[in-house]
Amino acid sequence: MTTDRIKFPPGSLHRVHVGDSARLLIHVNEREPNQVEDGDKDASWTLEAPEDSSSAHLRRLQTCDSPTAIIPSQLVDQEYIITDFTKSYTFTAFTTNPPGCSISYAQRSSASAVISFDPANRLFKFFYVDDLLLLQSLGEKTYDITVSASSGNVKPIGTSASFKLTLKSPCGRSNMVKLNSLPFVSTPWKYKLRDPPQAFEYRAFQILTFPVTHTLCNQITYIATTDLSPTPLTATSSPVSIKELT
Amino acid sequence: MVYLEDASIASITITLNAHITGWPDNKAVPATATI
Repeated sequence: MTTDRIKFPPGSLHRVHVGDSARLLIHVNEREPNQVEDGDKDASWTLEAPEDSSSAHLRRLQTCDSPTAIIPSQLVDQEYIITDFTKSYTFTAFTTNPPGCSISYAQRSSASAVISFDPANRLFKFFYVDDLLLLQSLGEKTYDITVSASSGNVKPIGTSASFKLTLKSPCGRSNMVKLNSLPFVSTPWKYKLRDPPQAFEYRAFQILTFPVTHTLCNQITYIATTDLSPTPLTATSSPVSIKELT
Repeated sequence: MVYLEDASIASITITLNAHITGWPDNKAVPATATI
């Protein structure tokens, strides 16, 4: 915002726009030889002296002090797999009317633990490795992220837009969680007919995670079958059962 | 029930599959053993 002292020609009448719609008629005293020292047909003006004053202080409002509109850009929905590398998203700058006014941004979301935001660069980063609580026991969960924008020093205006962030679990992804089987405990494994029931022993599989090491997917379900029957062996099946060595 | 009849040795194959609980698509290469 800048302040200018405007001097009008003696005896002149001037119609000044104040704000968006009001107009002010200024009558300048003839005894003071004045002239307009600065003028800008596109500027808006606000009066700081009474209407009947011989001279008036007028505050020239920069056009961006009171923009009339902020137009959001099209925000793009995002996905992030928990424990994955940091994912970045830079959204296109909003625009203003008049164009080119500075805009301040902020964001809000109930998934804020995953989100870091650099408003100066309109840059979102998504990263999280601590737990899967945000998924609420689901394979994926979608959250709304609202970007709010404000502009203007004298008459600030604001607007907002949103996009969706879908968080996904790494546990069902073979490129992020791998299971390695270990050699069976006793091979060859022999069972003689009429022997007492025996347990087929195996070691717990190894879990390998990428790109970071974590234990968020550490529950394993085992299914043992034979080529004789599709019915899985269990810890209580007979004569052969299965047993995990701890 | 397995009938061996005249054979003194027979074999069956046990296949052990594993997946992350709740994510059956994430299977390891099946581990196998022969009985």
